[in-house]
Amino acid sequence: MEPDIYSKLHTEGYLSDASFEKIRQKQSNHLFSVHWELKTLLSLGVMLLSGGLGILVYKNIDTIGHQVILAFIALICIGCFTYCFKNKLPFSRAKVKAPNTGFDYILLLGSISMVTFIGYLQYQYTVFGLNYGLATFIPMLFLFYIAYYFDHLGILSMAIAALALWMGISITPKTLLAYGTFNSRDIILTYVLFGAMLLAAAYLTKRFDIKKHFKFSYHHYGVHVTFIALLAGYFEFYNEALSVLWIVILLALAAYILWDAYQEKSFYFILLAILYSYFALACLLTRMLFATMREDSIYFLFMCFIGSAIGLIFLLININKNLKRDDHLQ
Amino acid sequence: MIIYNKLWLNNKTVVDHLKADPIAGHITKEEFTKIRAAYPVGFYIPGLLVSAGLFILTCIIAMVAIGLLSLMTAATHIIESPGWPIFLGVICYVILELLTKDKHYFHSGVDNALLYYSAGLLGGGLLWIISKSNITTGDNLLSAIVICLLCIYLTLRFADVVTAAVAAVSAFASVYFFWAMMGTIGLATMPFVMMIAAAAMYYTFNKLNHLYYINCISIIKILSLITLYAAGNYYVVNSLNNILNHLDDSHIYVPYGFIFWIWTMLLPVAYVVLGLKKKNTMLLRTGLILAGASVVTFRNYYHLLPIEVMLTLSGLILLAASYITIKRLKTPLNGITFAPPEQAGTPESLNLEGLIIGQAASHLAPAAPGPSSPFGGGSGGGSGSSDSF
Repeated sequence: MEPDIYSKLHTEGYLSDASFEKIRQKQSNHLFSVHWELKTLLSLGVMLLSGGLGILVYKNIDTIGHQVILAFIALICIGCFTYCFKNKLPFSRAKVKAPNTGFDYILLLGSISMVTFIGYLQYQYTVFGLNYGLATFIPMLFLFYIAYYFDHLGILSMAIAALALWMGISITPKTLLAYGTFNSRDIILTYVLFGAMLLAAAYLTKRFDIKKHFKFSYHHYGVHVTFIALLAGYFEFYNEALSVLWIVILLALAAYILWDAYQEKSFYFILLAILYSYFALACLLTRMLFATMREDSIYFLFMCFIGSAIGLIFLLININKNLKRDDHLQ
Repeated sequence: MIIYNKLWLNNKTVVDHLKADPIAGHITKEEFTKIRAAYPVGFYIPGLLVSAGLFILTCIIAMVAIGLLSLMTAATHIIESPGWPIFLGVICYVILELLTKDKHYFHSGVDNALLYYSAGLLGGGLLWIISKSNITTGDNLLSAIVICLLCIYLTLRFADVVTAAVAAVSAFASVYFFWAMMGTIGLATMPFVMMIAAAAMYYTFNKLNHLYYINCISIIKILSLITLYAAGNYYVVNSLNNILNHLDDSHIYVPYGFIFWIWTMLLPVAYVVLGLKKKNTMLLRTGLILAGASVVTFRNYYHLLPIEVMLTLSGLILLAASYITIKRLKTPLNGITFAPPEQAGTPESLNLEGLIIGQAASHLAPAAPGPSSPFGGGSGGGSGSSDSF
């Protein structure tokens, strides 16, 4: 049925002869692409190999000796990086494409084994002494350097995670929710600081035009971490008068994210800002209603939720329409 | 039968079909704009993110509204009868019909949420009636058939992928329960009956090429392929055998077990080979995933190598194999190429890969203060962690 559509369009005059000829050519030597399948297999291979090596080392620590293991990991690491330095394209502040398909994976393998190497050194020989800060700080620096130098988004994510680790917290949305370590005030404040740093990094990345495509990673982690930390802060200080301040900060942040997202025309961040602030306002509203009306408030509350959620739906549809209209003007 | 405007559906297939062409440079942008104007699509089809947002919000609304209604009528004890969920389901369905007709929603999140709510409420109510009526034999079969019919109707009306999948699964369940009623002979021949059912399903839907339901047909075909494999998978057959004969898990013997081992090992390979031969992405990907399942099945019974050696070796083999394949496919071979497909909106644009690596590597705790897992062994679960996306 594929040729039918094209020939129909051709006879109706919507396709010029030249275009029709091009389509015909495309169809006559149509190729079947296994690009994504092979790429997935490559990543899977890297993951399996590094995971297997990790366990291998862990189990055989008594028999093969630490030096051998270290040498082996170092060998992989050095091999990978030698390859990468040899084959890389020159550094640029814009996006640099990988010279070939294997490159990204070799770099990834090298980075993971580098982190393993440093971790192993610290564990076995306590190279950095009891100074755990330094032991996490150095891999982080390396990872950021590698991410920027070779332009690798995956390693940037690893570097951000390492930064979080260095600050004493662990991120990615899954760990945030799974471990939910929001019980201490210090941790919450660290989270807020960390999120603010990421947001600042995102802003600076765009402002000074250094690897602009990295902005999304910074912004993505930053937005989630900061919003969740602010909400956690609100609940942690629930019984104090200052707790409303957390919501106020959250709304201010949402306004900033919205402003930024409108400039970038990114519906994702608009959605996040709206949903997080909606949740915050809903918490505030519930609390206020319960304080004034006690148990009777529940009907009213339910109706409020229904009404506001319907309103939100129309708002989202409208925002999306406006964003799209702007796209057409370009 | 289908609720959507058929002219728009036809136009949508034309426009969708041509979407990748202006990007790949096969047709000019002006031509594409003209074609879009000549083939108007009036549906409201937002992007993936908007749909997700609308879906979440509609779910919240429906949940709160149901809670409110139940709370208000709680005094009358009407909620304690199966009529109540059915009543709510009918309300959801009516709203769904009205909105879809009036606002021309086309899988926009709002209608998806309402559809699943009404399907869940109606199905739940019907199952409740069945379980209340104390049928001793065949109640499972009846439930499966009821769910299947409900989902078939909803799929035909709204062309939704999820209801299509549920319909397919409940159809297979009906076959299973029906054959299980045959007694011992039924149970002994169950794997073969399921294989035949799955193969027949795949064959039937492979012939169909209905434009409006193209995604529904695909999902049913994928499920048929998986069922065909699972019906003969040694682990599945073994567990089923144990359950039916009231044996515990230590029994690993299955009559005529070698047939199932051959099936477990060869079927994924057959899928992959057929997929490459027929240039069918669905067969190829299903085969690759099921090959992984076969490896796990095999390892469940035969521990030839310790896990870490297996991981390392398989990682090396995978890397080497894919590297060699990529090298060889640099120039297309038998019409198969490594060049990325010409499609609009490839996964790369969503920046997913970076996030997945971040997720997988986030447990790589370098020198974490604690002896339990000092080095990056945690990333072994990398393949599993991508599930969370």
